[in-house]
Amino acid sequence: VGESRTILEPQPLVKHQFDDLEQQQDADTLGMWTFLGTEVLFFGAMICGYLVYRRLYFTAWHLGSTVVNNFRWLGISSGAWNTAVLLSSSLTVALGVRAAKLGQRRLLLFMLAITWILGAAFLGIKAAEYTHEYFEGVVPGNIVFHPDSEVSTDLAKAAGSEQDAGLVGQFRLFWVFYFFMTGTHALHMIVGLGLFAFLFIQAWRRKYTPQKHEQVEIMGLYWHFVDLVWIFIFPLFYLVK
Amino acid sequence: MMPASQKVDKISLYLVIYVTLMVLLVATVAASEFNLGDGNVMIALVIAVA
Repeated sequence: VGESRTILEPQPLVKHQFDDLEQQQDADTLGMWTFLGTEVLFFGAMICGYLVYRRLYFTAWHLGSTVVNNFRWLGISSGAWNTAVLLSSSLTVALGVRAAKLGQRRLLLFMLAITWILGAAFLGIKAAEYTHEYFEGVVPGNIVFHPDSEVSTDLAKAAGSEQDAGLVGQFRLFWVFYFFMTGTHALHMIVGLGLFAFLFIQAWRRKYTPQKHEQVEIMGLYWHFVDLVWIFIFPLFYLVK
Repeated sequence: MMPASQKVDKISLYLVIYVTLMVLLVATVAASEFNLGDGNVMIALVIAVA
């Protein structure tokens, strides 16, 4: 009888280790901010490394940014489109958190779905861009560029004018930074899509109330952070030439 | 009393911030079209921080 009663008891809002709901929400938020602090260190180190090498190997970095910017749609680089997509997804996340606070379940579901679609659109654009770069031969490793490709011609011109034998190696280093930084960012986006799918299912099952929706808030923080990282990656790779 | 984390802002505030960010994005992309040397890095990062 005791076991049956335990199973039938509704799940308490406050877990046993917390005094009240506010303390529990504060702990959840602090945990996410601590995690995001480690992420700042991770991405910050990569961005610093990128800037240092840009200073040292300016010609290779200039060529690399030119190739990155070659992939355009309606005359605008894919990076700019992706930035617009992510900024829009930040708006839908913020509106979703607001809907959760107000107990507007339908609006929350709608905003979570739109956020997921925008995240998937970002990854789709990135995948198209990676495919383009793969066929240009600009991937890390000892890849031999196609002799007729635009990249090969640009490299030959730059190497000839500057008598820089190490230019190809420096150019490859640029692509290591490019794929590692944008790749880890894309990995964070994939994790985010999984988290938002989870949030959608939980919202569908009516798990969130105006009193208890901290999962939506802290996942929103995560999403905003991943957007913010892109806001720094975007000018470094797509705008600076 | 509603806790600080439960404070709900007006939708218009979210929209103003969104439009501002999109305007800054257009400004950043437009600035990148001019060759300012290292100045491009400064402009891009200043707008990003703003």
